[in-house]
Amino acid sequence: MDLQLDSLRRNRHDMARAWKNETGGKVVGLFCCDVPEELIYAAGMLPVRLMGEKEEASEADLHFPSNCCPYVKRSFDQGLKRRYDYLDGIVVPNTCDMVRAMYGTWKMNLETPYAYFLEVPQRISAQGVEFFREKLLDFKGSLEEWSGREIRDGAVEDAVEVYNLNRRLLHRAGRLRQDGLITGVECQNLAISSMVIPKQEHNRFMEAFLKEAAGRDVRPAGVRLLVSASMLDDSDLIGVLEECGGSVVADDMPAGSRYFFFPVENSSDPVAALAERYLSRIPCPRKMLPLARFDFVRQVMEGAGVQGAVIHSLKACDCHLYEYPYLKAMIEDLGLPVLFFRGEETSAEQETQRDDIEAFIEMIRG
Amino acid sequence: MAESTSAKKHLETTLLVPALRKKHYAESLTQTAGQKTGWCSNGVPSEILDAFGINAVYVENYATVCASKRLSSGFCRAGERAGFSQDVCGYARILMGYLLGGAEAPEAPYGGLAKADFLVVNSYSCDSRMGWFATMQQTLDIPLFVLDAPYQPGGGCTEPAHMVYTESQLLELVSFLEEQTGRKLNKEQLRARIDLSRRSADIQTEIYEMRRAVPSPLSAGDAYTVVWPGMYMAGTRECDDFYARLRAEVNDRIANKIGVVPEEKFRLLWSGLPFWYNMALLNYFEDFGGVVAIENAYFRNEKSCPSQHPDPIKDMAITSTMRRHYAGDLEQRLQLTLDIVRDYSIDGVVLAYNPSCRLMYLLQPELKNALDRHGIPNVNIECDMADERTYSEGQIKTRLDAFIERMLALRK
Repeated sequence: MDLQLDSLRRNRHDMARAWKNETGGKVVGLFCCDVPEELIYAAGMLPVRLMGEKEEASEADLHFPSNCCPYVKRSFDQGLKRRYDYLDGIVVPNTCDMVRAMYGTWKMNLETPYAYFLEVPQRISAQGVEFFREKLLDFKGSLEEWSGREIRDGAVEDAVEVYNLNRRLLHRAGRLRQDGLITGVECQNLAISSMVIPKQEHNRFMEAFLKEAAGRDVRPAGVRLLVSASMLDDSDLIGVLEECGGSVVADDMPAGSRYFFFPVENSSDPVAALAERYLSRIPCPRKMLPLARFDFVRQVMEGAGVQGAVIHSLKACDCHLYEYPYLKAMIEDLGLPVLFFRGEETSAEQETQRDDIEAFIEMIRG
Repeated sequence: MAESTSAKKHLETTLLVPALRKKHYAESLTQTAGQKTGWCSNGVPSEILDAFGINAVYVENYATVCASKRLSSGFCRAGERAGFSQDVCGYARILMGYLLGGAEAPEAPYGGLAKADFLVVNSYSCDSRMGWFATMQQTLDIPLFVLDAPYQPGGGCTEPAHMVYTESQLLELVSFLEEQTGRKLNKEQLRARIDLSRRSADIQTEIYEMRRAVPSPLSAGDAYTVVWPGMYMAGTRECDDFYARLRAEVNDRIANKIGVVPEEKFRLLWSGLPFWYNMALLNYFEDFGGVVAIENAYFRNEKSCPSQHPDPIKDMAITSTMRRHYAGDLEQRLQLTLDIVRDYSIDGVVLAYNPSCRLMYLLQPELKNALDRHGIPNVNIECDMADERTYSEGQIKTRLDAFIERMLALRK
């Protein structure tokens, strides 16, 4: 298949259907960074991250109130509009109130054959990792029962290898972004596409893409920006920032660095290694306390020469909105200006953001 | 201070609560020498903190006190000025406003809160509590303990892994409190408090059951007040006595057919949290012969689990994994409300959309769909439970008037 980076997200449904026709395998939709995709992959299934579209959530409005997470609501809206009718299953982790609510709402309103609620501890601790390991073993057993096929010995280790390679490639993309060889939009599209197409295929695509990108001329530097966001499931905001003269060189986003930082460690107990990585390392403010979160933000900025930060929170995202005043203060203490947006990421909203972004970038340029 | 709009109380026992609350806050400001103060979220088991002799302050309650004294606007504005979005929990904005102060923050009721030595939050109720306590930790620079437990979407469960994890978290809490207080847990005291707490909880369950009676012996205006001892004095003799007295009074009212209104014409269920700054709204229906006979927040229909183990921590772990009040998947939660409608002879439902309380708010549209499917009249009113700037008296009463008219017309 001829893959074009800027169309991978748009074509995700067709690609998933094609994979299903070709392999006869099951496609499993999921929310958030907390679901170890490796287990789904090891079961011979295709994990795909559920995403929304910038259109009126006309169907979901009947099931969710107005002041709630637009990302989850819009993803559900796509489900109600039958755009995810090829899904054989969904996995909903215990991430936040909205995602948890989605489990019941999806199950009640859509006829996806398999719906699994994955318990995720809400606190990082050694006992939590052990408990999560148990829950992942339950999940593995559930996938086996559903598929009628045991996950063979070594399959999880193989999946970890494929996924870790993907993480390394996305890391390399992050470095090329810092070096001015790929744009922030390209980097974000690489991360997002990684969530919706078969990993091995994505690895092959990335290797070719990064090889080509490494040979490019360094692009003229814009104002070097960090973007910290709750959930941007497309690259539109990054696009506006770069159109206005910014260069997004670092990010702290679930559909970005938080997805590909931290490999799964090699271990004789791969499920324990998954539990450790997915519970303890993903820097999500729902369970990671602020100081550890801020360490991660400092880590992604290292060597990036960041000149300013844009913090974006989707409306009603409690996890990020509480953190904002302190994250802002932490970044400002580093001598960097901060621009904050809170909204729904609609197309109309993005146009109004443009003026603020232009003024912010002008201010940094001085 | 702005004028209070508290609900009219119909029961004598209810009238005891303000004094109990005042005393509770006064006592918390006069700690004994060496006593530590822990600020907690609702859901953190007070029995454990009490067994350590800790001055436990449940800050959500203080937010409702501020709201009921019509102080939420000033505190919320002070919190928002510090960067907290209007999307986040009204209780949290009030507390952050109280903590951060500034020109907009009004004078604190009850002389303010005892200074916290540490914070304890439970992670399993809602996102807001976690974010709120994590930010308070940043502001106050004091230790924070996060108490976790499995979520259990299907309600209680007895899986060994859940029990083991819950026990591990309770034991970590105990270690944390030992470190903070320099004391060891008094297990005998804990046992006694758990037993007392379960007994009062069971009386509360009985009272909920008794509220099925027609005419309604105890309506929401009283009910939202009488939950207070159970939430903040659990495990004390005083709390137990309070509910025994309340049960006797409710019994007496039922026996003598004393209702909240002289001639009960319709019965309502209030779904969601009340508007603490205008509890009198709960009495609004009484002029039309209506009564808010029951509410689904804080509702109890199950007795406590009997003791499962002599060790009190193990016992708490086992019993809490068997029952979890707010857990339960969507269908179970909807069914519970539909069952309440049937069992309490409800004619209509007021759906309070509290936009800053995600926990309650997210349920309401599906609940509305379910009520519509079952032909149960309902009305939604969108106001925050704590931030009174979201309340518009004229608009709300117009909606309620139309609802009452529609509901009564349907019955003809």
